[in-house]
Order: sequence, then C-alpha cells, then structure tokens
Amino acid sequence: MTATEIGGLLRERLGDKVLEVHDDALSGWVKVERAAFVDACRLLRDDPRTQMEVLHSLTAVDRIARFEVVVHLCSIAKKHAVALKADTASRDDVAFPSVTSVWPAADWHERETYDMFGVVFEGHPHLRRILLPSDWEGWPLRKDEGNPLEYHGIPGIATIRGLEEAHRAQQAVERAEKYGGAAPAKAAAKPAGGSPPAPGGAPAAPGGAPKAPPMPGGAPKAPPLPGGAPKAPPLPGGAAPKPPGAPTPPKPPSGGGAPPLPPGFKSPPPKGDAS
Amino acid sequence: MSATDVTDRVIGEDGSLAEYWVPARDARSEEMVVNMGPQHPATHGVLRVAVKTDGEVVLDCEPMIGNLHRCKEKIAENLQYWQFMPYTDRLDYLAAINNEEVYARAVEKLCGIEIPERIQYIRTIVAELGRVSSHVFSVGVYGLDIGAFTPFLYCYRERERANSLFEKLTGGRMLYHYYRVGGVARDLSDEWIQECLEFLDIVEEKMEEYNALTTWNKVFRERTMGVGVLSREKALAYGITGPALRASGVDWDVRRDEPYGLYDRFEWRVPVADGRHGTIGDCWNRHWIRAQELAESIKIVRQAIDKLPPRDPKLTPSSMYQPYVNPNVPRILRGPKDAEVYVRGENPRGELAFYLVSDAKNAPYRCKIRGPAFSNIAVLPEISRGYLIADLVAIIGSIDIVLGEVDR
Repeated sequence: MTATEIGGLLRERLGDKVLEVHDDALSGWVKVERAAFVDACRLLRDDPRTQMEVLHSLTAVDRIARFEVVVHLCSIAKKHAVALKADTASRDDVAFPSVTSVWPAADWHERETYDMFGVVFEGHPHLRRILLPSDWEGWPLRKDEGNPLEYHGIPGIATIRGLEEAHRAQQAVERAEKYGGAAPAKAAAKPAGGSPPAPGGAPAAPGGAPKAPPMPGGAPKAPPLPGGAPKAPPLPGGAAPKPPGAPTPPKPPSGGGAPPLPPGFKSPPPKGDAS
Repeated sequence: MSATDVTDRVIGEDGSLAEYWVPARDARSEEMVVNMGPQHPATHGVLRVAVKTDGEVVLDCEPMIGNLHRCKEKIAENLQYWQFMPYTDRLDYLAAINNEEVYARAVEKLCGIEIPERIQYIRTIVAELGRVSSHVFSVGVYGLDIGAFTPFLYCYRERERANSLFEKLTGGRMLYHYYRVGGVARDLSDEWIQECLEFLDIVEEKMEEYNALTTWNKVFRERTMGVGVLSREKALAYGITGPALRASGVDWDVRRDEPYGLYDRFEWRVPVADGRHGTIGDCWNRHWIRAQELAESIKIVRQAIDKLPPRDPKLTPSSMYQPYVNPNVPRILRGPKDAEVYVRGENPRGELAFYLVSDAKNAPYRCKIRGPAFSNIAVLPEISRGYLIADLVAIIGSIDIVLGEVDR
C-alpha cells in the first residue's frame, strides 16, 4: 500500500483528525493530530490491510515553533512502509503520547528522543535519559542548543577555545615586552612552544596551566594591563590569582590523564550520583 | 518459564535437543545487583549491564549505554552531505563499508543522483565483502565470548586477509571512506579482483573449519542451544532486525523484500531458522544464521564479479586523485526544499536506516541514524530473565552488537 492509501484508510476511521497525507517519490507520510496519534498507531498495527507490526524508528525533528515526532513503521507481511507524524503543541508544551503500549520497541526510541529533544512522552514506563548522563542539562539536538561550557570540571569546547585565545594573547604580550614592542599579532602567530622562558621565573608554559582567567566564549584579545606599564611577568587584568615570581607548576606528563584546571576555574558543586 | 527455574538441556548424537526445566535451588542464594562492564570483555565494547541476580540466576538486567556517545546526528547537521561520509564508518566499525553504502544511497535518493551500472556492481562487491569480513569476525568472536579461544584466532586469520584486501582498495584497514556521493573512491583493478576471488576461495574452504569448531561443536551447542529464546512475536514487537530476526523464524531481508542496488539480479537465498536444530530464536540459531549468510554473501560477490560490466571510458577520472563517480554529480549537493527520505539497508547486524530531512541547504536539517544494534540490544532484558549469568554472556554475544552504533 502507498502512503496515500494508508492515509485514506486512516481518514475512514479517524475523520478530520488526519491532517495531511504526503506521498511522492522521496517519502510517504501521514500527519495526524497529537491526540489521535496512539489510536492511529494501533489502527495501523491491527488492521489486516496494513499490519504494521514493526516500529522501525521513532524520532523527532525540531521545527522551531514545535517538535514533530516521526514514527517509521513497516510491515513484514505486506512489505510496505509508512511514516506517521504528529506535532507537539508548542516548543514549550512538549508533552506527547507514548506508543510503548503499542510496540515495546518504542521504549528506547522514546527515551532517546526525550534525551535529545526533551519531548516528554506521557505514559512511558520509565522516561529518563539513555545516551547522556542522567545529570546532563540541556537537549543537544534542539536547534538553539549551544555547546556546554563545562561538565563536572571538564571544560567544553567553548571554554577551551576561550582559554586558548587568552593564552595566545598573553604570549603575544610577553613577546612584545621581551623583544621590544613587536607587533602582538605577528608574535602571536609564532608557535607557542618556541618561546624562550620569560625573565622573572615565570616562563610561558605552553601546554601547562594557562594564566588567563577562564572567560568562556569571551576571552579578551589584548588583555588590559594595570596602569598601562607592564611588569615582568605581565598578567592579564588583575584576575589571575598567580602572584608574580611564583614557581611555575610542573608541566603534566603528556597523556597522563586530564589536564589540570586553570586557576580560578571552579568546579561545580558535586551533584548527586546518577541513579 | 519462570525465574525460579533454570534450564537443563541434553543434546542427542543426531543434534536433536531435549530440554526440561529443573528447579534451581542450588543455583540461588540471595538477591544482589552485579555490574557487568563497561570493561567486560564479553560485551563487545563499552556496554554496561546492571544485572539483578539471585545466586547464579539472572532475575532482571538492564543495559546501560551511552559511553561511546558522540552525538553524530548533531555533527551531521553541521557538515555538508559528502563530509559526513567518513563519520558513518564509525557507526558499525566492524562493517564500515555497509554504513557508507546506506548513507550514500540516502543522499543520492534525496539529491536525485543516478549511479552508473559498473559502480553499482562495485558497490555490491565491496558491500558483500564487508559482510563476509564482518560475519567471519562475528562467528569467531562468538566462540571467544563463551570461552572458546581457538575459533577466534582461526577466524581472525581470514579477517586479516579481508582487511588487507580492503587496504589495497581503499587505503584503510578498518575505516575506509571508500564511498562517494554518486560513486566510489576508485575503480577495481583486475589484480584486486583476482585477489578477491582467491580470498573467497579461502573463506569458503575454511568455513567448514569454523563450523566444526563452533557450530557443530558439542560444548558450543550445549552452551547456546535453547538459551535466550526470542519468539517471533517478541522479535517483531521489539523491532529486531537482521540475523537475530531471521533466527526467530521471520523470513525478511531488505535486500530481497525491498530490493535496492542490484540484489534482485543475483541468485541467493535468505537463511531462516527452521527449528531443525535447537529452538527457533535461540543463541545457536542466531549464530548459525550468520554462518550461513557468510556463504550466501560469497555467492553474491562471485556473481557480481562475473557480471561486472566493462570499464566505461566516460567514467574514467582524469587523474588518480579524482573519485570514480557519476560525472553529473553537482559540485555542491543541495537537497530539495522541505523533503525527507528514509533509506534503510541490510547491514551485517540488521537494518541501518538514515532519516534525512532537507531544507534546501547543503547540509541536512536533521539526520537520524537508526542503528540496528540499538534496537536489538533493547530486547536483552526480555530474553535473559531466568537464565544463568554465564548464559547472559552467550546471549549478548549472539545478538552481536557494536557499541559504536548503539551509542552513535
């Protein structure tokens, strides 16, 4: 059966709760009202003309104004397939009826959809995260979801980029000072590992703990210096807690676990164990 | 079967199986929760199973996944269609070439790209060779799961040959990036085809060896027959696909029933469990289906090599750095506006599907990956209740999961 025929069959039973039937060379799907979604699923499974005994996949698509839940069904006996869709009420009202009572296969797929989009499936026996840790915050596959800044002290990519940028700016300032006011942009282009240690016992520590304050996403290009007269070693702003002349922390062995957190980088308070 | 009994099985000389339940009072003591994994060698990666046990009996279990999660679907939304191709290798990394095949077909369907016949034959050859390589590995490593180390080494010998064969063709031994949208990276050379035929001869000859070491081995049969029985109804309700579905007696193979590529041009059959040995849907049948599919895939590769059309001068790339593709593929791939495709293909572990939603940009608006192992492992609690802990390892191994695809 084609999607048009299946859509007609659903219209017989559900009337105007069938909103849209789409059938072309690329895809065939039927869109129904959210309230009629479970009924439509059960009809498709039990009707001898459709016999959709397999739930192949269940997922959601972020349509900005709302989420569209898509179920791909197929029939082994009849050798046809169709997709069934329905929308959540809005982006904020994300409740959606669960179809675990129709196909047990929906269990994990719904948990994954909840995990990635935050769509709450009502009637699911144990709706919780499946791929991500249970204390993760946010819904990764939503279009407005950005990169997390950190997770349990592990810096996110935005944090790392911010730190790298601040580190490069810091090195540029150090070089400019040592070699007599070279252009910071030119100095910053040099590889970090090639710089000689700065006088004063606080060498630039490539790969070590960056001295810049962690400013996720908003690291200053040229760190403001107090008073405009840089001393050795220069410190970006006043926020870096490292005093001048303090011994450099030993460089961690490469590949030996996670790099140490930069000073001032606060770990979040420990959260409850994943349960 | 209730959780208060364990199974006892006796196998006759003719391979027939008699089984009866015995009360397992001696196997039970007190309830406790045991963690299997994520470093357990029998879990094929980083699967963690929390098992509620009563002595040696599994009362319940729950697979906990996600240790290998890389959010590939988000990556796909941020890459152009062709750029995502190497990422698909990392889904089912034991049969990387088959993942590429499904993704390439999905993009080609979305963008309306036709594939020249010779390239279709090449794709069939490498995809089925990927299945041979994957099944050789699965058959051997299943022996390893339940304590037989030797068959693993025997099978890995041939897997190494397959890896070298792929290395000659694609440059990679495990992750290939051989498919391109509209074609493949390079043409097959005559020398490679000869080596491929030699490899098939070797595998065909050694298959008896594998079966003697595992399938028909008495210890192996006693460990796997009648264990982890997955009924036909349950297999359908849980969306099981691939060899696990056919081992439950469902005659379904996407290659035959929803033909794609060239599979309708070859003579081959779909092995389905018939209950002559063991119980339909048990671990042994899942293993046996895989061993039979190995022979069928070899048949398909041979036929495809026989029928391979001659080289088309129009297709020959101008330099060795150019891919071997349909020359009409646009330089920038864009899907149509508000279109979507759902393309599935039969992978060694089941049906892999890509759901691509396009919004007329050069990257998909949404890319859902339906991994077969993700659906298959979800049934584990259902089929392992009441068996012993040692059987749980046999059941996980027989489902044959790859965590790269479960976690994506």
